[in-house]
Amino acid sequence: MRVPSIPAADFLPLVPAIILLVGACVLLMTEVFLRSPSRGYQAPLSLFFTGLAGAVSLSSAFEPARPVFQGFAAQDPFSSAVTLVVCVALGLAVLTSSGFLRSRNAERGEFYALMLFAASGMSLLAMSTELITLFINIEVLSVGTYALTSYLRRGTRPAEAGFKYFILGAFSSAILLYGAALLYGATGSTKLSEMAVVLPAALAAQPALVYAGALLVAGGFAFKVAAVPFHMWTPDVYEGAPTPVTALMSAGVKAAAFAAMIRVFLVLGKGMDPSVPLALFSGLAYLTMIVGNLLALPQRNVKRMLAYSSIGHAGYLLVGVAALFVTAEAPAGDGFRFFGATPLLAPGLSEVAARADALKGLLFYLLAYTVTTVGSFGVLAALERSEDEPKGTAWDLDRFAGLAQRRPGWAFAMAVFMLSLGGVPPTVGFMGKLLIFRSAVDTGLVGLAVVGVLTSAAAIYYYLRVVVAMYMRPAPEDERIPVTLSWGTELALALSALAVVVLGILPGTVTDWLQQASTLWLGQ
Amino acid sequence: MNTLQEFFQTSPVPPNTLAQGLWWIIGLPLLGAFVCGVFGKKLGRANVSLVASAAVGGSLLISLLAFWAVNDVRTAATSAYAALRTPYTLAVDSGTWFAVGDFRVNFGLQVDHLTAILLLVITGVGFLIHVYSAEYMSHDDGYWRYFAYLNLFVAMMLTLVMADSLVLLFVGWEGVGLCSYLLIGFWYSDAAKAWAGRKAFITNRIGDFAFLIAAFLLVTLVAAFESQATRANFGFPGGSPTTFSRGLDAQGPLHFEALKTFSRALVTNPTPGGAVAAVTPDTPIATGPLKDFTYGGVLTAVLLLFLLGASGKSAQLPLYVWLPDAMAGPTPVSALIHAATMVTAGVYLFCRLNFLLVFSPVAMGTVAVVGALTALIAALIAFAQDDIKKVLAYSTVSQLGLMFMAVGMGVFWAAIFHLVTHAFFKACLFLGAGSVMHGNADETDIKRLGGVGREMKWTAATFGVATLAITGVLPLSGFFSKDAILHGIHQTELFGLPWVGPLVLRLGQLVAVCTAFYMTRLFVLTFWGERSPEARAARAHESGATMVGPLVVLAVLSVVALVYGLNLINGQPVMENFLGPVFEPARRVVSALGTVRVEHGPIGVGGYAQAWALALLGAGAACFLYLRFYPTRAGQQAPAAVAAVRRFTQNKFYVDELYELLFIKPLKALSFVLYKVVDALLIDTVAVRGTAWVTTRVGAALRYVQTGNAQAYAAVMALALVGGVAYVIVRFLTP
Repeated sequence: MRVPSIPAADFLPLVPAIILLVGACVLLMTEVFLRSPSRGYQAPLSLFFTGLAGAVSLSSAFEPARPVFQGFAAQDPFSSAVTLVVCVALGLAVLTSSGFLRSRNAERGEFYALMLFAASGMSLLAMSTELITLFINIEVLSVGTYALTSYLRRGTRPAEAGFKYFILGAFSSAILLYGAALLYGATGSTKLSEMAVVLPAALAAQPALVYAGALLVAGGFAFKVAAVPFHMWTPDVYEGAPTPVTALMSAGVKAAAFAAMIRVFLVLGKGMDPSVPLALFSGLAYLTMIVGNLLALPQRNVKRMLAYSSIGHAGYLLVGVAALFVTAEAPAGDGFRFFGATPLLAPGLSEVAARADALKGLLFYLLAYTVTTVGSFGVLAALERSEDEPKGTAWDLDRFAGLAQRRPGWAFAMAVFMLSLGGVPPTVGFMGKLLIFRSAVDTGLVGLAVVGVLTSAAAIYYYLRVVVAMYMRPAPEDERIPVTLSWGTELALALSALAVVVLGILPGTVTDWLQQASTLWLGQ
Repeated sequence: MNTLQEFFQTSPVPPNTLAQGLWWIIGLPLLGAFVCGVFGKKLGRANVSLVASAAVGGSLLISLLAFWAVNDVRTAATSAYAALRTPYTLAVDSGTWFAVGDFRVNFGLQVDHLTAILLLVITGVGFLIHVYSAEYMSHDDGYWRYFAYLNLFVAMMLTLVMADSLVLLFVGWEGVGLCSYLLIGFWYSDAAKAWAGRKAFITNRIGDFAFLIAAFLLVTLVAAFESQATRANFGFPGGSPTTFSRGLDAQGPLHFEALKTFSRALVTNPTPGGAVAAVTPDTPIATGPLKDFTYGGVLTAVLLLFLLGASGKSAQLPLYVWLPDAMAGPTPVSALIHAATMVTAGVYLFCRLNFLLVFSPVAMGTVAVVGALTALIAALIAFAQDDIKKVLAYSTVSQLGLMFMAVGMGVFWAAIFHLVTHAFFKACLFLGAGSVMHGNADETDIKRLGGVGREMKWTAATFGVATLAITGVLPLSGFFSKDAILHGIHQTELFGLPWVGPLVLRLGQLVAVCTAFYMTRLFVLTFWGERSPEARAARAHESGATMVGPLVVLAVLSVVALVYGLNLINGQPVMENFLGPVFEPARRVVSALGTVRVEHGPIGVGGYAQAWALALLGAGAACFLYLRFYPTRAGQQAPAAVAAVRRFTQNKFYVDELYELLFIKPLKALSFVLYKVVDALLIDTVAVRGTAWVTTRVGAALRYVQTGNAQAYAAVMALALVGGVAYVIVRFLTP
């Protein structure tokens, strides 16, 4: 047996994930060896590891892109940026968790440990460049989140959510694996870089096999990012999971899954007609934007509303993904074609520049969505009372009535988050939408941009309904706010609200950095 | 004399340094407006008036320095459009303000002799009125709001006169309109006053619309000229087509230097029948949306549109109706905005664009006739008004008409001269009226006043001086300025329209008689005779020093401003000599095209005597009628015919009612239909609510798919995949 020699430098990109794993193990150990009844130290401890991992990924963000582990993974600014987004989501989720769990008397080390395990899976997923590695990392992050979903084992709801998530997740993983098997059958390799080389020949020989494989892989990813029609689990699972976990799922899992999907299809796209992924992602984007936002409209349950809104936002991200596959020249013959003329790049825009713009937009949008959505779930977590959960009224719109008088700070933060989700300037959500839609228009995807803007306009309705409830409805007489104020929640809300506003007004530094981070290692 | 000249020609601050500081002239009042508006409530009354007055005072000081500097021989601004230096001009350019495609507008200020003199009027009169207001408004709760608006107004008016392009001028133009609206409706809780503000605003909008169209036409015109002009057009020193194009790229087509160069190039035609034919005003435009119109024709249209714009702001026919109603605002506001400064913006606009106006005798004649008719009608209406402020308002309209006459006949310097003297004596009159109201429990009906002169000696004296000035009695400034206008008109003939000059001159003389009559009537009824028993206050009290002080200063100014009218320098009146460089481009156009014919000649003693006699005639008639003929007030008996005429004029010739019938009612009916059918039904119900209804219905319907059943979820996913795979197989496996 030939033992591959792996240089030590190949382990450097894994350092953030290793830190997260070590942190998780440390937390589990404390649960075993520290007998103190108070577990207040756990949140700061997990925060420490998260911060460390984030700092390391930031410091390695400007390393040149290169393959590691013989092409099983890659280190590039893109994966570092995704790891950073994951760490931001994790940090904010940990902050909101501490108060949430304490008020339910459920603060235990395995909760944070599971979160860190899942986050390490997300970080590794963003850098995987081989289909088996990719699959395993998806499972790492999934198993963590399955367990977290039913962490609060009270009532039927968490169990139902966890079970649904598990069943459907297994189903989608199977689909992904099936797709990977078909691709392996067609190309004889599982490494993306090698597959890209063999693909043209494989396509000529067995086009149906390749395209069916790509379609199934895309289906597996579409489940993770909650794209329509693979979205149906989302509202049930998001509602059933503990709110901080929902926050982590909607931000971190989505970021990692998008990263992996972008990497896989950018590499595969080099070997196949680029109009195939273009048609695929445009179609998904249309469906996801329209259905996600329409479903959110009638929701009075704010948590479900945010779940549907997260589907809608996946649609906007898919617009950016579709923009990656527009080329300067019209494809020969009649490729896949949706909705009228073949999109082309705007004159004077090179393919590389357009792709870099779209990637920058995607990364910025992921960051924007992360700070906004984790913040809004944070407010939701702070407001909910455990005794309402069996009745299903814990997240009703009425819980927000008159919040502006009772908790002006929270109400203001929530209003900022809602405006940002709706894409109203001067918030970060507006800048994100601006970047995404601009690259869609630059690449000729005008139809997607128009639908995106229209659905954003419709979305304002359900976002502003929360603001109206907070500022214009009187508080119910018997309303009682949980008095256990937690420093974590307050800090998380302050930080994310600040980020939403500051990045909305001064996005320059971050977009400049993301401009550089939009380089991926795509094989030779 | 030489030492005096040298003293004035060496400014203490180097011109280049001062140019950089010009922003402060606008910035100080703007800052004052901000401080008063935001912190005014907390600062307290005394501090607010101190801040506001100090802001304008500081602006006055810098304006004085600027005035000094433009007399400096070293002062000159470079033109971006031709290799020329414009002497006696301070200019500062802060780079691009905005650019749309090729069209570009820069943010810059310029101060030449015309602007300098207006700067002094605005900041000087403005400062006096701020001081006066401190006492006048001392009992009002909206004190801080008032000073914030007033400071903002001063800033906007300064922007208007210091702008170096039509676009920035328009910012000031709109800004003063806004402040005027805010201050007319200052006591907005009174519905009539709020309506008066709205009337002023809407009437002005009509004019502003015309202004914008004119500006757009000018942009198109300059662009067409740029592509069509030949080397022959730029046969003047420093001119060349490339320099002009470069200037347009650097500073845009609406900069005044651009328009000046354009006007100069359009009349430069050195060699008739030379190698390259030059573009002249009669050349048809070759390209663009104005194709086949001639340059001169489009310019006439532009000028007539500017006339409509100016008649909105300067209250000329047919848009003068807002100014009398504007008296709803506080009296110092009427003095500053509706007498001294804002309403003269139209006169300023035409003087600024003098080199364009003289291209078109038709436009000039229209301006002159509109001015003359306005002056006469307003004077006639003023005959029968009993409200002290209304009389002054119509008098302002009438005097503005005189200035328009002068502008229209090309006697620009006389228009500016009258603008300055009018600012002094009309501000004095308005402030005097305010003082009368202040001392008489806000009584404004002159029929119920009377004998006020005995109790308010200072007010009466200053009001008397200002009345004599506006009446045109030698040797007050009003006499010189009015006579300069009439004399200038007498000497001028418009090409192709020889009848305009004599007509306007006769009308002007008639207006002079009428002015003397109604002003004397106003003075006599208010300050002489006996107190009417219907008066609100049994005894008047004289106003305090901060109100009387500005009155005295303004009265003195309305006397000493006569210096401007004396033939002291080079045999010319001081004002004509001073403004010479500003109107030089117009003279160049006139001498090239011959649109205006001027006979130069000094004013004879006969002319002076005639003018004086006219003033005395009017004043004497008023004295006779109101002191001898109608000595009592209550229940005046008058012949039926006189009463009917009086009623007709008192109702302002029913112009408001006519407008109501012709424009407002049909517009309201149309708006009602649009509101009911288009807005309420089509847009609100069908488009807005309809879309929302459909969207939420669809969303609600989609919820039924979301059953909560995990098998169903998996089935949907599987179906989607099966569909996709089936498509792929069909697409690629079938030949």
